[in-house]
Amino acid sequence: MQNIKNVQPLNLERDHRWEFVFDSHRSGVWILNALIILFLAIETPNFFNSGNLQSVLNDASILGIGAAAMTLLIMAGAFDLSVSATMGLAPILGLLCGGSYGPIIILASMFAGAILGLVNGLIITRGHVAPFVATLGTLFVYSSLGAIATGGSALLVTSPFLLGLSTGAVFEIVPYSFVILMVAFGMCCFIVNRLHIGRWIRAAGSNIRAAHVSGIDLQWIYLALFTLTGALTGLAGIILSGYLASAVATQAPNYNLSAISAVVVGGTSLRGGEGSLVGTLLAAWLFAMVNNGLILYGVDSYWQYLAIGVVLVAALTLGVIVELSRKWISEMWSTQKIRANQHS
Amino acid sequence: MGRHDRIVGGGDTVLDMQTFKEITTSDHDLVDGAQRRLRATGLRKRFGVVEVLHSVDLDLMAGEVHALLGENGAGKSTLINMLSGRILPDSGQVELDQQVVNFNNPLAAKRAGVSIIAQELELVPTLSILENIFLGAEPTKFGIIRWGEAREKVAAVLNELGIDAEPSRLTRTLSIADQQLVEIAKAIIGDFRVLIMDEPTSALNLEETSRLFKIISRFKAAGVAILYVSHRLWEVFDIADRVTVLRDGEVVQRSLIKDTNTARVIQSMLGPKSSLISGATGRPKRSSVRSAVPVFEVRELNSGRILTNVSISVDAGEVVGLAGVLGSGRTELCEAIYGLRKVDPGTKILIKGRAVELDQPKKSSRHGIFFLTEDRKQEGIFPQLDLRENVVLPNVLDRSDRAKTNSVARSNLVKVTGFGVVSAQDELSRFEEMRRSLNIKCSASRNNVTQLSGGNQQKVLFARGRIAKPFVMILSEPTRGVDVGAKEEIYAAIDQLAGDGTAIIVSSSEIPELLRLCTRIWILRHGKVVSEVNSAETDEEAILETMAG
Amino acid sequence: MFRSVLKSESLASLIALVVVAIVFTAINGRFLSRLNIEGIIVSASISAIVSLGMTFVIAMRALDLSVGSIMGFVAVIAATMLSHDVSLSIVIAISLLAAAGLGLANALLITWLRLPSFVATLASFSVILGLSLIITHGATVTIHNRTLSELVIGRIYGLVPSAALIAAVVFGVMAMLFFRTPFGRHVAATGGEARAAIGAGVNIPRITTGVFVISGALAGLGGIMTAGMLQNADSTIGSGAELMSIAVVVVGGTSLMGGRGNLPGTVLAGFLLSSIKSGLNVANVPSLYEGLVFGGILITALMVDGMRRTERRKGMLVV
Repeated sequence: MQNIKNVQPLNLERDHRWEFVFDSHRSGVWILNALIILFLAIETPNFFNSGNLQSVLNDASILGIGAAAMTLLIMAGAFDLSVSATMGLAPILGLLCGGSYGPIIILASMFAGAILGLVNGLIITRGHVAPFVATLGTLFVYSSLGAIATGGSALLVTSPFLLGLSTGAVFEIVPYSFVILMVAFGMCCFIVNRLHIGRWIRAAGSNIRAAHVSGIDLQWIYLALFTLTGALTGLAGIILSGYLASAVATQAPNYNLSAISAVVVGGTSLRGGEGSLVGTLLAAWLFAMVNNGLILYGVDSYWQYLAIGVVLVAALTLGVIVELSRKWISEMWSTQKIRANQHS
Repeated sequence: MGRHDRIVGGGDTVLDMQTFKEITTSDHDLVDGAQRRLRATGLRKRFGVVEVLHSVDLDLMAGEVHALLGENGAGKSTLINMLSGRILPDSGQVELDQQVVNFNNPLAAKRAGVSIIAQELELVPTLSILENIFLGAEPTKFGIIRWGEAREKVAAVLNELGIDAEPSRLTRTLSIADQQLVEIAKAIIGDFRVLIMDEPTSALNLEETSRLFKIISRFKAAGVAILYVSHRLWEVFDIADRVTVLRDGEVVQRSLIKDTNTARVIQSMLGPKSSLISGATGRPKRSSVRSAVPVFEVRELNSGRILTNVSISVDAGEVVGLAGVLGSGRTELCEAIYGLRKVDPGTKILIKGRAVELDQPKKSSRHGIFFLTEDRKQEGIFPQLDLRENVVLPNVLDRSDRAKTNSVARSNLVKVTGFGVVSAQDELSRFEEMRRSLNIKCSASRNNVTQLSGGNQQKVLFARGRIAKPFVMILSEPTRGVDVGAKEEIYAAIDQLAGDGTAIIVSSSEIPELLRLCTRIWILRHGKVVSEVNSAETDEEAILETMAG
Repeated sequence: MFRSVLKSESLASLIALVVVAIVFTAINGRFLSRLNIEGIIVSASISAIVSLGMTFVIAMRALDLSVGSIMGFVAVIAATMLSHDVSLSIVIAISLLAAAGLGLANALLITWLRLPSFVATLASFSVILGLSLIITHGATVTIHNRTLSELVIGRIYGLVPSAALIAAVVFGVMAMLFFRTPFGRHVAATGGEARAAIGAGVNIPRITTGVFVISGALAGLGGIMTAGMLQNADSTIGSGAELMSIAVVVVGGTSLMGGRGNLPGTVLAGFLLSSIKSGLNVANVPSLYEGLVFGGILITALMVDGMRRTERRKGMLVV
C-alpha cells in the first residue's frame, strides 16, 4: 500500500516557475489564442501584415503594461479600479508639467501616475478603507479631475519624440511600446519571483491575517504596489496619448475592467496568492487580437461588445473544461494503477 | 433492561507484538440487534492513489458513548465525514436502526437522525445564535419565518449549556468557547438517534466540559448512540464506554473502556513508533539558572479591562508557562506582548534590558520575537504557498544581523524593504533541515499545506519560527488538535530550542503540557497574575485550584 | 434585528442627508422647490431600487457588474415596444421577464461554469451592452406614449409620488424577503460563511440563482422607470450604474465581505447621493465636478466608518 507518510529524502525539484505553462486552469488562454490565430490565418490573412501586426501589438502593449502591475496587485489580494481614470489624468498632468521635451513628459506622466497610486495606497493603508471601494472612490475623483484639468477638451501631443515612440517600431513590426512592455513585464516578473517582497506579496494575498501575524509589513507592500500600478498606468497612458496624438481624461474608459479581465483570463485567481504574469500578457494579446480581428472581419462595431463578452466566457470555460478533463484522466489513471497493483 | 445484560466483555483480547494490533474475538455477534443504532460495514475511501480507509467496520450501540481514537491521518475525519453525509464512501454500507441508508449530503444525514458537532466551527458569524441553530430548518408559516416557539426551545438549551447570551445575539460577538457551545446546541436541538462529537471540548474549560458531560449522560439514558472523537485521552477514559482505535485507515483495537488503559490505547494508535512516548509524565530537561538581566521582560502591562498589571520575565534558554482558564487573559497577554492587542501607556517591555515598543507584529518580529498562533488556519498558514514557502518566509525574522544591533530595522535597509533576492537552492536546503529535524510528513516540498494533518501543519509553523532563530518564542496552544505522536515531537523540538538559548513562553490549557515543558509557570485569573510557581514544586491539582480561585 | 441595523450605520447617512439639504438650500433656495424635490424623489427611487438588488448580491459576497447594461437594455426594449403602441401592462410584464431572464443567465454562468461573479457579470455586461447597441444602432428611441411617464413621475391621488411608492413597495418586499424568509437568511449565510451554509444543507446554486434573478429584475424595473422619466431610451442608460449602486450599498452600511445587508441604509444612501447630485446641479456646479464630490464623499464616509471600528489591529488592513 502506498504510504504517503514515509519520510524519504527529497530531490531538489526543478524550478517550478515554469509549471504555469502546463497548469491546466491557465491553458484556456493558450488554446483560445491558438484557435483564433488559426482562424485569422485562414479567414483574414491580412491580419499578418506588418502594419496591422504592429497596431495589434501596440494595443496589446498598452493594455499589458497596466495589466502586468494589476497582476501583482491582484496576487496581493487587492484591486485597482481607478486605473482607467489614471490613464487619462496622468498623461494630462505629464503634458501640462513636462513642457515639450518627450522623455521629460514620459517621466512626468509616470511620476504623476505614481502619486495617484500612492494616494490610493494611503487611503487604503492609513485611511483603513477596503481597496475595492477606495479605488472606486478615486475612480470618480480622478476622472473628474482629468476633465477639470482640460476643461473637458483634449490636449494635443506635439512632441516628436513621443509621437515617434508610440508609432514607431523595431524591425517594422515590433513597436517600441512592446519593448517597453517587455521591460515592465521583466521587472514585475523579477519582483514577484525573485525578490523577498514577491513572497510577501503572495503571502499577503493568500492569507492577509497570517501575513500580518508573521510580521510582514503590509503597509509597505500595498503602498509600493499601488504606487507601482499608478506609475505603470501613467506610462501606458502617455504611450496611448502619443498614439492618439492627444490626451483626454476619457481616453481609456474601460481600462480598469479590461486590465482585470486580462489578469483573470490569464489564470490569476481573484482570491490572490498565486498568479501568472505570462498568462496576463497572453490575455492582453488575445483581447487586442480579437478586437482587431473583428474590425478586419468587417464586424459591425456594435457586435464587438458582444464578441468580447463571449471571448471572456470562452477563455475561462475552456480552462474549466481542461481542468475537469485532467481530473477525470487522473482519476482513470489511479483506478488503473490500483487494479494493476491488486493483480500483482 | 440494562444494557449491561447484553454486552458481554469484548471477547478475548490479545496484543500482537508484531503489528501492535489488538485482536479481539468479534463482539458484534454478541449484541442483540435491536440495541444497535448504527452499523457501518466495509467502508472504503480512496483519494487519488491513496486509500485512506480500508474496509472499516463500526458499531454504535444505543445509550453508549463510543470513542474513536487515532492519530491525525488515521482516517477518523474521513470516517466521520462519511457517517454525516459530507463525503461518499467508495464501497461499504451504513445501516441506521437496521435500515440501510445512503447519505449523499449533510442534510440527508441530519434528517435521518445523525447529528454532528463538527470540529471546525460551522457558524455564520454575521447571523444570530437563533438563525445559526435553525439554518436550513427555519420554522415558517406561509413562507415567513416565525421564531416563536423555537426561541424558547433555544433559550432552554442555551441555559443548559451555560451560555449567557440572548438568542438574537450575533455569533461573532461571542467568545470562542461560547461559539463552540452554540455549535453543540445546534447539534442537540431536534431529534436524533446518533450524535457524533468531534473534539467538542477543545475550547471549553473544566466547568463547561463537565456540564457537557452531564448532557451526554442524559442522551445516553435516552438511548442515543454517541460517537466521541478526541485527542484528550483523560476525557475519553472519563466518559466513554467503548473504544475503537484507527491506525493508517484500519481498525487496530476494539475494546470496552474498562478492559483497556491509556498506555495500551496509545500503543495501538502509534504502532511501532510507540516507543517514542513518554506520556505526559516527563519533566523539563533543564533547570533554570536565573541571570541578572532576563532576556525578555514585561512590566506592569495593562490592557483596558482585560489585563491588569501583569509582569513576567524569561531568561535565555528558559521555558516558562502561562496557565489560566479561558477568559483569564492568558491568550490576550500573548497577543498584547506581540503587538496584536493594544496596551495602555505605562507598560514596559524590555529585551535584554532595553525598552522597546512592540505595538505591531512587524516590530516584534524585527526584534526577534516569534509568535505561534493558536488558530493556525486563520492566522498561520498560507494556503496558496507551497510547503517550502510556508516555512521559509524570507527575512521577516532573521537573527544573523541581530547579534550586532538588536534590531533588523537599523541594519539592512535592503532586507527590510524586501529587495533581497530569493535563492531557491538555499531555501530548499534549509527547508530540508527543518523537515528532517521535526519529522514533517509530506511527499514533496511542493505539497499544498492544507493537505497536511493538523500536527504536521503545526510543525510547519513551528519550523517557520525555528528557522529564523528568534530570541523569544511565544507559543499559544502549541499542541491543539495535534495527535499524540506529533505532540511528543513538538515537545522535543521545544526542548532543543531552549537548549540553543531561545527564551520560550508557552500558553496552554493543558496543565500536563505546562508541567512537562516549563520550569516556571505563571497562573492568571481575571487578567491578573495570581501566582508564580516552579513546576518542580507543584502538581496539576494545585495549579487547577489556583486557576479556579 | 431590523431595528438594530437601522440604528447603527444609517444614522450617519440620515444626518448627512439633513446636512446636505441645509447646505444646498442655503446655496440656492431652489433646492427645496417642489419641482426639484420631485426630481430627486424619482431619481432616488430608481437608484434605491437598483441598489436594493445589489444589496442582496453583495450580502452573498458576490458582485453584479451587469446591472447598468440590463437597465439600458430593458429601457430600450420597453421604449421600442411603447413606440409600437403595445399596451403598458404587457410592456412592463415582458420587460421584467426579460430582465429576470438576463439575471438567470448570469446565475447560470456562475453556477454551471463556475465563473467568479465578477468575471461572469463582466462578460454579460459586455454582451448585453452589445445587444442594446445592436437593437438601437446607436440611436435614441423616443417615447410618445405618455402612459409610462405618468406612472413613473405622476402622483397617486395627487399626493404620493408614484415613484416613491414603487420604491417603498420594493423595499418592503425585499426587506421581508431578506430578514424574514429562509431564502434571505440563506443568502446571508452563504455570504457570511459558505462552509456553514453547505453543512446546513443550503442549496447554494439555488440561492445564487435567486439572488441574480432579483438583481436583474430590479435593474430592469429601474430601466423601465428611467425610460419613463426621460421619455426616451438609448444604450447609454445605466452606464456607470453598477459602480454607482455598489457605492450606494457600501455607503449605506453593507459590507463587501458579505453576510449582512443594510437595506434601509441602502435606500437612505440612494436618497443621499441623489440629493447631492441634484444639489450640485442647482448650485450650478459644472457636471465635471460631480465625480470629485461623489468620490470624495464615498471615501470620507468609508474612512469615518473605518475609524469607528475599534477591534482593528495596528498595521492590518481592512478586507
